[in-house]
Amino acid sequence: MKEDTVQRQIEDVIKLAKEKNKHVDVRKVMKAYNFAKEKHR
Amino acid sequence: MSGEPYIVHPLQVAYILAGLELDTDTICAALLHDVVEDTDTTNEDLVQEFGESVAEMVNGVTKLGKLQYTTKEEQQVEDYRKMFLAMGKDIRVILIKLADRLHNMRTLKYLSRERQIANSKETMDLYAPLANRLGIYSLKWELEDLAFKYLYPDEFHEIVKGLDKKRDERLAFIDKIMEEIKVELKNVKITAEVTGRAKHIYSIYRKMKRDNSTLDQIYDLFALRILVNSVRDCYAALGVVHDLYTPMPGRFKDYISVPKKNMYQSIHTTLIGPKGTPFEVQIRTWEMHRIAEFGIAAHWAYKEQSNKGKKKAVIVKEDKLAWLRETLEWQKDIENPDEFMSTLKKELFEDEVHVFTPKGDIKVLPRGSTPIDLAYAIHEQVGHRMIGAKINSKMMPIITQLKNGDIVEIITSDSAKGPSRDWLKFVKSSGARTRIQQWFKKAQRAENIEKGKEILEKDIKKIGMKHSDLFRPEWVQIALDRYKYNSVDDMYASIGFGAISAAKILARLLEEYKKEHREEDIEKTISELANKKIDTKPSKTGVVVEGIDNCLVKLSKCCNPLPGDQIVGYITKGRGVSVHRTDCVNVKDLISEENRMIDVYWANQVSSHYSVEITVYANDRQGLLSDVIKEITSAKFNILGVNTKTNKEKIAVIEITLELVNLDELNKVINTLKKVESVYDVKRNK
Repeated sequence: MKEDTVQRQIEDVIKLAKEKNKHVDVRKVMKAYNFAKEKHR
Repeated sequence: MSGEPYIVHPLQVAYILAGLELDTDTICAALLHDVVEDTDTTNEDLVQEFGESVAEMVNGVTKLGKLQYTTKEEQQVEDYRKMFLAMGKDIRVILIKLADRLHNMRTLKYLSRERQIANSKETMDLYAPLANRLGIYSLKWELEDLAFKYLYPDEFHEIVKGLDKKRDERLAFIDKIMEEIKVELKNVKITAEVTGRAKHIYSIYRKMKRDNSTLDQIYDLFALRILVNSVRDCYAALGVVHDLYTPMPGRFKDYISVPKKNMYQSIHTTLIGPKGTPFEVQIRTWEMHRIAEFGIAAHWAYKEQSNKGKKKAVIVKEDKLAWLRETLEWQKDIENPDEFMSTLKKELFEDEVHVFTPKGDIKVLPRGSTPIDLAYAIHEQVGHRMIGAKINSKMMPIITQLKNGDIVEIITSDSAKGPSRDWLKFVKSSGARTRIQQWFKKAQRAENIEKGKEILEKDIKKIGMKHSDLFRPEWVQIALDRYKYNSVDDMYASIGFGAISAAKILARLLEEYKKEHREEDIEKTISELANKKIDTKPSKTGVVVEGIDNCLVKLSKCCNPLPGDQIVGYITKGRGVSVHRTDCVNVKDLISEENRMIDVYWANQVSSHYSVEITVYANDRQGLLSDVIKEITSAKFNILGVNTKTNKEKIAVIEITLELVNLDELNKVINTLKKVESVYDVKRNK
């Protein structure tokens, strides 16, 4: 699976989270994603 | 396994939770849920980077270290226990676990068949019922369908094929009905969304199994849902559909006025459509629909609100979660992992009964509950002080099983002595059971310790051993560690109030004992037994030990075998062969010592008499005991002892020790006594 597919998946998560909950903290979610991605690499 | 980068899994879990409208911290915890378990990240790292709330959720779903438990099963049960403890603190932990499981099930095809079955079984046994209990139907259905697909692939594909075959016909039928309902709702000015609803495959299968029917005979394959703006519109819409089509008797449920314990609300009705085809309609408001789909998760939606530019968590209304806390209350007090699992499964699968207090409050209890369960559901002290109950204004025994709609008044007294141990036999709810057990635990510790000692000693004797054979300090310590007791007194107390059986402790001690006494000891014992010139021919007991002529034989007192019973022998240490009935509860524990078990049988001619204990259960009345004794003596059977007691519910329990020759005589006595007026059961004691 290519890097851009993974990138698209986090974008989908953010998009859905914002759609369902307008107060979602996108920066914190992105920080968690980058942290997990780095650790699982 | 799928060849994708690992990060895809946490991303998909986060996506499922975002769809359930969950908050930032839950989505972050979902993305991070495996980092502590699978990488060098520590919980402290997470606290520092993402705060306590995220770290605690990740900790709740992280499995325990692998080295703490001896067996895989023990490890798994302790993982569950940890998860449930974390869930008690923060329910979002279980939402992450459910989403994690759902994605694992969606990608199960990459695993071996063995793992597919094991994971599907666990999903069916634990996670799907849990999603159901939490009201998250959107997850429940998918978990069940996926698990069903792997557990019963043939049946799954057969139903899918069957549904596909008549798909067009079904859609045409639903479209026609939907159109008729939409027009009529518009005429009466009800704003509504009417949709067709796909029935889930596993629920079709369950229905087919339950009713022994074929796919064609399942009527609510045709299902509709009507979503409206208010409760008033729900009932108005119900009026409309009942006007249009004939309702099917007995197929109406109003979960709006009496919601399910998991907060589910909806009206369900089955109607007869064109050509006599039945179909189901569900009517609910949008908000009810949201709760039906998201369940407990619905309460986290919209909870992040801006507060002067800062995000702040809004506290979920207490009463919405009270039932859940109550449900989880029991698990704190269960120390034994096996009991933890079985209680958990029971709790998750429990059906419900709805009853009313005289003030009109609805209480939801497990099916089969009694007024005792209700009393404890109202308040612990109401339970402890209970002396009676009125059901629908009539005084009734407190062990009466409650029915839906019963109005139940609990009668209490300040001078009540507290719960009775017998109540534990009748209560259905884990809450009531735990509180009664706690009462005994606290109020009667000294008594429980003595009772526990007595029970354990009795069990040791039953298997023909001595206290000193088994109570080596190092072996006792192993048993204490295994069941997490701080002291021997704690262990005795626990046996005394029934939290653990003496057999379990005994099995653990025997295991250690066995390690020290190898095969040669057994051979030695057998040869010693054979050389003992104690008796000739069959022993006095009438039992012949296979392959050994002269041997000390005694009939076990725990089950008092009679000629005619299936029996088995156990070679004791220095006390010959102890004979048990094959259905004796103690035999199960002895089976683990396979090399000590020996075949025995009844001699053809048996002239001895045997003592047998039976218990007669009856509604108490004047002259009952005298009638029971009269029946026995007139049948010419000898009574060795009688012990009677009558409980608060006026149920008489008469224990009788008889002297009989064989099983036929016993059956004769039992049948005779069953005919005595007010006797409702006669049982042979184990």
